This record gives sequence, C-alpha cells and structure tokens, in this order.
Amino acid sequence: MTAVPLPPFPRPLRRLSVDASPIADFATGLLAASARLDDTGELARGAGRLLDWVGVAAETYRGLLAPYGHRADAMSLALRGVARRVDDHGDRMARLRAELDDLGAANRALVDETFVLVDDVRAFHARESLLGAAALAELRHRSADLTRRVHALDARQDRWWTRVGAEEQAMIDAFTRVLEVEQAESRYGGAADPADAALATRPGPDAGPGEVLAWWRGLTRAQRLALVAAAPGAIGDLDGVPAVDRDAANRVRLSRDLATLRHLEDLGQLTLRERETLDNAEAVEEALDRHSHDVDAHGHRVPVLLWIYDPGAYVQDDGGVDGRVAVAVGDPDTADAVAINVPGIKTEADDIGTYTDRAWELHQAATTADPDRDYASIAWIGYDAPAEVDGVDAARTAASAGAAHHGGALLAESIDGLRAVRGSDADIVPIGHSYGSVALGAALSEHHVDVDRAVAVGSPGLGEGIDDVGDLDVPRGQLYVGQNHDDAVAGLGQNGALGLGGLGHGQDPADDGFGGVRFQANAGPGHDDHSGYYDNDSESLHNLGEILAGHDPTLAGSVHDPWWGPALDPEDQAPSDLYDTDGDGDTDGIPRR
Amino acid sequence: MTELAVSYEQVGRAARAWDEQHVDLVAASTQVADAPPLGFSPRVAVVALLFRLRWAEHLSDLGEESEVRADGLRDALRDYLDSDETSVVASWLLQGLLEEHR
Repeated sequence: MTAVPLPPFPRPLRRLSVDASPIADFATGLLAASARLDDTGELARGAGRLLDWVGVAAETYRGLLAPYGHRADAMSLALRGVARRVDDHGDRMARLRAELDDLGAANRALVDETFVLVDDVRAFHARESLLGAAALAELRHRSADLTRRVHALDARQDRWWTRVGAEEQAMIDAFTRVLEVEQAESRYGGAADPADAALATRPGPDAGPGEVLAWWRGLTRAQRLALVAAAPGAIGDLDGVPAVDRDAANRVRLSRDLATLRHLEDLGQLTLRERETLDNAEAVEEALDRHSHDVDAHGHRVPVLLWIYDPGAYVQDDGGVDGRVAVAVGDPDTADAVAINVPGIKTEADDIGTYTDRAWELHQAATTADPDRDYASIAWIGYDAPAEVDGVDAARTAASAGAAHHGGALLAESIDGLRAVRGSDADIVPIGHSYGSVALGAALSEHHVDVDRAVAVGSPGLGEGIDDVGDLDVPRGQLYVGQNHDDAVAGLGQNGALGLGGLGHGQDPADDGFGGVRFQANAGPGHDDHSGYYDNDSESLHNLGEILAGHDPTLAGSVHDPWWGPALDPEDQAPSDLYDTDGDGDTDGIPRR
Repeated sequence: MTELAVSYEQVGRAARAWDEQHVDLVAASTQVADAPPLGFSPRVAVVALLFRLRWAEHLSDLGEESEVRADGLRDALRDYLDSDETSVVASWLLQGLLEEHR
C-alpha cells in the first residue's frame, strides 16, 4: 500500500470571554468619579482658597489646602486616564474577540477538509490498483496544501494570542501604574489639564450653534475627551456639539447624579427637589436601557443617545422639579432624516420612558417605509409643558400659550443646533403632538428655523393668529396634519370662519382653509382617541413613518365648516386601517422586540 | 456688618462647600466600590478589582479630608463668634453657618 501523509489538525482555539458593554459601564463610573475629583480640585484652586480671609488661621488653612488641591487634580487626571484606557480596552478586546470568531471559522473549515481528505485516502487505498499514480499525486498535493494551511492558521492563532496578551498587559499596567495616590501624584502632579485650555476658548453664551461647532471641531481629540470628563455640564446640552459627544458627556453627568443622589437617599437626606431630580435621572437611566437589546427591521441594534440632560430643571411652586431631557433613538449626527417629537400637556422628564418608546416606534415605522435610509427620532421633553391639574384649571392651563412660546424658542434652538451639525445632509422634521403642536407653531412662526417638513398630530391649533400654513416657516406643501376624527382635543381648534373659537389655540390645522396636508390617522378599536398617534401598526404611525422617510402619506380629506351648519369631517365614517409598521410580519399592534 | 464679618461669612459658606465635596466624594467612592468589573478577561478582572478597591478608599479618604476641612472652618468661625470683637448682628448672621449642612 502506498502511503499518503495526513496533515495535522489545527490546534484547538483558546477561549476568550470578554464583553465590551460592561467594560464601558465600568469606564463611565470611573469617569464620573474623576469629574467629582475635578470639582474638588477646582474648589481648592478657586473659591475655596478664601483669599479675603486673613490671619494666622487663614494662612494655616491655605497652607494645607494647596497640597490637597494638588492631590485632587492629580487623582482626577489619573482616574480619567485609566477610564479612557478601560474604554479603549473594551473596544480592542471586542475586536480581538471578533477576530477569534474568524479564526474559529477557519479552524472548523480546515478540520472538515482534513476529514474529507482522510475519507478520500481510505477510498484510494480500497481501489489503489484502479486509480493509479495521478490520483495518488493529487491526494499528496492536497495533504501538503492542508498541512501548510494548518501551520499558517496555528501561526495566526499564536500571533492573535500574543496580541491578546499584550493588550491585557497594557490594561494591567494602566491600572497598576496609578494604583496608589503617590503614584498618581508622581505621574500627574502639576500636569496641565487639556480641558482647561479648551474651556478658556469656549464661545460665550450668546454664540450660535455654528460658532460652537467650529470651536468643537477646532479642539484636539485629547481636549474633547478631557471636556467630556472634566466639564460634562458645559457641553452636554450645548447646541452645536455633535450628538455622540453630548451623549458621552451626559452619561457622565447621569452617572454622577445617580451616585450622589442615591447616596443621599441612603442617608435619608434627600430634599423634595433632590428626590424628584433623582426620579427624573432614574427614568432617564431606564429609558436609555429599555431598547438597548431591541433590533430594527434590518435586525440591527439602534444607538440610543442622551441628547439633553437637566433633570433638576424647571423648579415648581411646591419645590419639586419637572426636568428637561431628550433621548435620541438613532444617531442624529449620521441619520438621513431626524424627527423631533414634541409632547404635550402634563409631560415631565420622568415620562421619558414612554416617549422614548414612541420615538422608537417612529424609528421602526420609517425604517419599514424606506429601509435604505437611516433615521433618528428624538423624544424631546425640552420645554416646561403645562403641569397636570384638574377640572377647570386644566382647561385654563391648556389654553395658556405662555409655555408654548417658551417651548417654541427652545425647540427652535434645538433645530438650529441640529442644522448646524448636519448642514443640508439631513431632513429635519419636528412633530408636535397635542399642546406640543402649539409649541411647534410658536417655533415655526416666531423664529426663523430651517425644517424640511413639519407635522401636527392631535392638535388643538398651532397658536392664536396662525390661520394658514403661510403663517409658518415651513416649505410649501410640507405641513402635515394627523387628526383622529374622535379626538376631542383636536376638535378644540376653530373651524371655518365662524367656528367656536376660544377653546383651542387658533385655527384647526385640519381645516380645509388652513392649507395643511391631512393624512389618515384614525384610531382603531383599542386605541386611545388622543394619545394613540404613535401606536404600533396604526395608520397614524404608518403615515408618520412615511413622512419621516420622505414619502407621501395616505391622504385624508380636510374638515369643512360651512357657515350654515356644523363642521363636516370626511374621516367621520372612514375605517382605521392597520399596517405592519415595525416590519415584524403582522399587524397585531405588538412592537417588535 | 463689618468687613471681617463679610469674610467670615465666606468662611461659613466655604465650610458648606467642603461639606458638599465630602458628600460627593463619598458618593463617588461608593460608585467605584459598587462598579462590577464585569466583561474583562479573568487576568485583567483581578487587577480591575484591586484597582476598584484601592480607588474607593482613595476617594473616601479625600472625602474625609473635606469633612475635616469643613469642621476646621467652622471651628475658626466659632472662635471668631466667641471673641469680643463680634457684633450682635454679625453673630446672628453667622450663627446659621455653624451647623453642618449634610
């Protein structure tokens, strides 16, 4: 029998258990702690020095304070450096883990080929006299080739493992280099903080988002990263700073707030204001997490970014706070179309979970409408919506336009910020629901904003004096209106020239004299008449998705109010159609998960 | 109020600021101590755990120093109020700053 040398099997792969997500969380915790240290150092360098205080006690105090501040600054820089290294480590190990998957696939393929060769060699030996020298040469050639490739794969595995070891060692070195305070002081004592120079050149409070963006782009990467850690409050809500950087800064603020406020809660020392600030922060934490494992119609995870974070904003008469927050589903920096969803009366920051769900549903609907485009959908609780009150006061509050004017100004600033970062590369589409449409009306009528389309759903009118789409700063034919025929709030707007007037906020945008494009948005069975416009698989959500995607929605007739009789709504008898808005293959109204 | 009292009011407010630093740094210490070193490979996780333990202590120590600093400033304020040169008005105004805020 003629021998065919068989190739070796490739060496079994080693296991590598790493997960970048909890590593990133660990890094964020360290960054938040470093931000605290930075505050301590700043107090020691600034107001805490008490330069007006003189005398022996004062000199003694300042003498002890200087090294303390020096130490706090060094510790801040050291912890920040480790946090950044941890973040990089998570990314690098994730890439190495992905390479291991490739190595595993190559390993399995070679093992399979070896088994096939063994079978072929057995078959050759069984019929050697018939198959002859050519078959033998072919088997030997295959064996030699396999042997060469197995050795190559083994060498690749060795190199990969060496890189894993080097990366692990580098991370270990980063930890151990500053394990003790003395090491941190020796390494970072007296070092300049890149954040300080960056902050010194920051544009003033009157600067527009374009100026802010130019400043941000002019910073070095080290300066930007330093600002995120040392001064997250200075950039987290700053219009003109890109969304991913705002998110990074705001997550540091969130982590820091949660740590401090939970600590005070444990001590039983929370004031009402702090209690409600903590409630808002915890609602944000939960909202950021609730869709982190969901996938879109492509099967892809969608980034969720913290775009505005001020959980202690809007102090109320009772000492509590409403908060100001916004969460983006999808990346506004890269999306082809960005929706800003403006909610209505009673909305507070601790509702952000519900509104993030709505933003998610809209993101899904647009992705289903046109899967070739990317979207971002922002849950924007960015103004102080009128508070929840009951009875007659509720009607009065809803009728008051003051909050809408203020909200309109803030909404215009957010739109300007997005436009500054994106230029003409993205469609910007604000969507106002209920009282939020009044804020939208204020933004579009009292400020010069650059939007591609605008939508009002469940609107009681866009504001007193806004009688026609021509009163709004929106391109011709691009003001869309969704109104469920049974929606009592949407019925408050004035119809016709002689309509009720007074109960809502001006002319009904669904009126045929207004000039908006009305789309089908009837609520089906089981859907709330006023709050169901973002419901999964509904015709309203389907059409919102089409509009965000840049398509024409399914049109509905406008309300007509003849002077001799009551207003006529052609949607009164129209059915509510169902659509597969999340691309999950059904219209059961249950969101894709 | 005398010029001296103005500066002592600043002393009292600084004491409160150091109280806040104490709370914040102890909270940061707890945050670091509670951060699970998950996701790391076993070789790195051991060192991450050690780092976490040491830095939770460092932050706590720094926070305690803040508290000592705040107490020291309040002691200075007390000495001033006990002295003969303090006016009634100044005493009344500064009294509230002697209490620990947190």
